Amino acid sequence: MTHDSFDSRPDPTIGRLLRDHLSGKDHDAFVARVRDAARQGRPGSPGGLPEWELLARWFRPGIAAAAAILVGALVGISQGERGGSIVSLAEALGPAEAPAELLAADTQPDPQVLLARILEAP
Amino acid sequence: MSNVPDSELIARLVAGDEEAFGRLVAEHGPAARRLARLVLRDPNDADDAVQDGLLAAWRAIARFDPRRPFRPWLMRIVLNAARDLRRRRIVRETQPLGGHEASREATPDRQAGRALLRARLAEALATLPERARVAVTLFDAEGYSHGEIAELLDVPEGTVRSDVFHARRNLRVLLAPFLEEVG
Repeated sequence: MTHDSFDSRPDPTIGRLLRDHLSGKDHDAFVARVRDAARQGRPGSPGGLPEWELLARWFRPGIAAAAAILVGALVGISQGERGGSIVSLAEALGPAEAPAELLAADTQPDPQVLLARILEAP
Repeated sequence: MSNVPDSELIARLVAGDEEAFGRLVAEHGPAARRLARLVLRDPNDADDAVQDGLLAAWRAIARFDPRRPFRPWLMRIVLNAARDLRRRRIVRETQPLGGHEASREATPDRQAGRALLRARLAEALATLPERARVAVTLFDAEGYSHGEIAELLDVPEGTVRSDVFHARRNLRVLLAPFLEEVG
């Protein structure tokens, strides 16, 4: 073997091993999958955003909203107990039905809808 | 495989030709998948990251400077997508780095030898820092220049040379028994 670690040319043996080892199976199927994903979400449309971008966008306002609702619920319960009337958790959560509905949904919630619901809540 | 130059495919893509996108994916997908597998151990995660990266590149294609080489630009996006996915995924140790099924025609001895080589190579790659894994693979397996790799990884060219040297030396030591056979 003439190649050594100092050589500034590519090492064909190491290169072949790495290529063989890292190459994925069924490239045609992969190309078809990416093309299909591209067709479903053309650039410029909301559907064109990858799921993780949607999740990231949804996650921060979603967590903030959940925290705010929880604090509100606890305050409501606490005040209710002090005032002699028990306010149930469900009642305290009443205005915030959107997050629960969205959290339970099978599909990713639209962050705009989520935010709008939260802001509109009395 | 496509004989149409990247520059022409990119011009067609910018003009809205979706077929051009498919041809770019077919052309650059294999290298992109190998790159993602250096970052993500799970092949399915790697393919997800490559898809994210390719679609992100498509959305950003109008911002690509056609005077610059397309391949490093695309690979940088794929690398970023893979790193991003790694940050967000729970690490799944279901499969060693890059492993795939043995050929059906292989004899049991040959299969065992390949399986051992795959396992040893996965172990050897796992001992390297990610940047060194990427550098040695891009240089030895993908034919990138040190300068291209430096640009892609955003490090000085001397760092890439050093990474390739050390990674290659480690791989040679750890794979010594196999290199005698395949070299």
